[in-house]
Amino acid sequence: MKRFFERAALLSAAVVIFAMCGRGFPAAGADVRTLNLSTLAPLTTVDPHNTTNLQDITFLKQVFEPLVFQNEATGDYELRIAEGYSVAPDGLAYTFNIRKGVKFHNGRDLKASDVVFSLKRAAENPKVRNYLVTVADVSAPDEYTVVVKLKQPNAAFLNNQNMVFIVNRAEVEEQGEEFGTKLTLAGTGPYFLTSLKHDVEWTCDAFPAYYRGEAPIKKLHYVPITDASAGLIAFESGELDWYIAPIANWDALSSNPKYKTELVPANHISFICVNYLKKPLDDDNLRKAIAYAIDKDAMNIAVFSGHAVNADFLIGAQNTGAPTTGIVYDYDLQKAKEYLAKSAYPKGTHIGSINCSAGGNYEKMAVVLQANLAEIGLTCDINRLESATNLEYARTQKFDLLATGGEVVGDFDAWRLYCDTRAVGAYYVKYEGGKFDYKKMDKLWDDGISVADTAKRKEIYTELNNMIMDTATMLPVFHRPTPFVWTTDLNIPRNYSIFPQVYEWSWK
Amino acid sequence: MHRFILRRLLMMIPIIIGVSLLIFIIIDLVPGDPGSNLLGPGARQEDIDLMNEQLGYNYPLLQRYGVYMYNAVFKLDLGKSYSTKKPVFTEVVNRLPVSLTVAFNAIMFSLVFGVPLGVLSAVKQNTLFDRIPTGLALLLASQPAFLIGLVLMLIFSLHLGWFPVTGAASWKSYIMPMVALGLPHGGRQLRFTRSSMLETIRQDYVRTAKAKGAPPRRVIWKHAMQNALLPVITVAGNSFGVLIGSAIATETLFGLPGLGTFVVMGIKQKDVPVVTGGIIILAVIFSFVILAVDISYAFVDPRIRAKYSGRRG
Repeated sequence: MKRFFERAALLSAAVVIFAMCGRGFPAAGADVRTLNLSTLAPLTTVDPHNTTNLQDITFLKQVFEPLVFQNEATGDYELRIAEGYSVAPDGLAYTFNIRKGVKFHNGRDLKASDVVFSLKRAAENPKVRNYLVTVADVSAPDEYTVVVKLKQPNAAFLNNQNMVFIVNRAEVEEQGEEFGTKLTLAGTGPYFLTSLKHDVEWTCDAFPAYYRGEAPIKKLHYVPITDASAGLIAFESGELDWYIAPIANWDALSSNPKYKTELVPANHISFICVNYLKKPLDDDNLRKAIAYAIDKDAMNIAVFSGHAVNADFLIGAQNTGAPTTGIVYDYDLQKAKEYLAKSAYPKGTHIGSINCSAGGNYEKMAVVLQANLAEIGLTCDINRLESATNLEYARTQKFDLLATGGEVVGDFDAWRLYCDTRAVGAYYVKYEGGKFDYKKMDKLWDDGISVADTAKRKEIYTELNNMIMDTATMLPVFHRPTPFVWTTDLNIPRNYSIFPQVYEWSWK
Repeated sequence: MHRFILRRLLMMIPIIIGVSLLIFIIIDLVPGDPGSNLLGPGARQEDIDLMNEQLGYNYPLLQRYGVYMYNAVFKLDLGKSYSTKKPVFTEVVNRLPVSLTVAFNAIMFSLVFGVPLGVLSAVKQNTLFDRIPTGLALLLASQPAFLIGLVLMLIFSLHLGWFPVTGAASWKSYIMPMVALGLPHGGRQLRFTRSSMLETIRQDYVRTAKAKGAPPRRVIWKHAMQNALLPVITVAGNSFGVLIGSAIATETLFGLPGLGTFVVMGIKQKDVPVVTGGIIILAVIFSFVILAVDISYAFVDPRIRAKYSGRRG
């Protein structure tokens, strides 16, 4: 018996030692303070052309840069790798003047050929090619000029460039298929990777040769923390310097003098979809009854303790082309009951199920919606689904009502893929072939993207927004808040709704 | 003994074929496709189709299964993850030490904690030495590991600052997951040891040993304990196998890159190579653990040892 326990103890020690092999402590400079950050998931890749994962991009934006950067807060375009650009009068060609003296982290000079390579490489990957779908050709007439020709005018082209990063051709080709899976120095951003364990931790140093000047914070250390409570404890115990906190803790954190906080409305919209192809939801009056029965304030309190910004339109006002006037469904029980009375269905009708991803904010939205509908005498079930199944059911219109949401960044055109009538299978509500004037919707989408004038675009999108609102099939609810919290010795001039710009931060 | 081990090893072949085929079929039946999941909401259908084609997902199920098994068996190639493009075999090998460390230490912790208290509880039945551990066992066994983990984080990370909240950077990172996972199992071990011990100490041979004047400590540790341990080892072995793959909540909470989170992420993204590869490896490990448990009987039970010795002779 004694020998058995001795053997067990030895084996235990061996397993611990085996597990420790190759896992070192995080590298930290002896006299340089490291900024400790977290992401909500492990890094899937460091290839910026092979991911649309928000957590990946949040980090990769510190390492890679696009030609032109769109400021999330103002919507303005800021020049990065391009030092200037011009648009052909017909809107079919963009000429970018590439900044001279830009170096990749590996020391090589950035040339127009790297930009051409990057755009072409991105256009071949299904994950990001959507940003370049209107591009017909990319060429480099000289070492510092890139011409992008479009198949059709695309007013959102610059907005899309915000997500297309420039990489060093030579290094990508050297690494071949392994690019993205191991340490890379193919970026030009303010930070370069110094260590990489995708699912444990990764570190960066400030790039001394960065063309906008070396970043004030010299070292970054990232860890993935998937559990929000664990992340908050990590922040409070000093393991993290900045964190996107759970909204439930906002009041406690914002009143704590030990921390600095900022609540920023996210460039995200939560909405309810109504499948008008199914009975009884094919009844226009019934759908409008539902639209007026939605109590956005109650949902806001239930989901975000009242800190979200209620949404009247399909996209936030800070984005290009966002409508600011038009059809709005405010909570009005009287109107909801009047529309229900006008419908072909009596009080007490069972209208099906509300689909939602299980266990998150959308489930809470569904619960409130169920109660809202009960107030006007409609009953429904809640169908809690695993997220991938929920997405598949949404895309194939296997739902009655759907509580969902998504990031819609930069331009009203970004909403197109949720309801464009031609993008078969990619939308939530199927307009094509239905009773609404989907051909006019298509024309408005095309017109909106073809016109360069911002005011004219807003006019077109206002009309389009009204058309969609009038169908009462996609009902905006709110823009969720992003609660930022950080240590008082960290100076952050501004938090952006999605992607932090660590380059702007400094220690006090 | 050798023949027994060989027979058990050969039994793994149909197990692996069955498990992998089952996984392929189940993932195929789940609504959706990897392209849709990887590209997310708002993706265009033509991009989804292209993605699925690039991933080889458009071939018939049996063809995909055949190619997968051929590569797995003859090239030790479990495919590449759809999302990270990394070889699944490498990913599993990198994560296995984390899961093994947590599971093994949690089981050892549960044994060190549960077995002595279980014995004490049985020997001192119906006294405070029995009631307090039994109550404690009930309390711990009914708590989910993630809740215990959160409490541990608050005490040992936030207030005392002894251990890091998350990550797998040092040995300190493994202490709290081990305790969080080990405590509920320890509670169960305590109850199991107690009932097994109670049954054993009422056996005739224990009574005989006492009647022959053997000291109480020798009766407990030498005569009763060895026999009472057999079912305890079985439970511990099975728990170890289960813990390797199912410690998802603990791995998620403590940010440990183990096999459990790997497979769950694969399921969410319909990453067939990840799920199949991960589960095949888990099935193999589980089979080996059960084999090890069976072999360990020989160390503990002289009757089994004698049986195998007899065969050899």
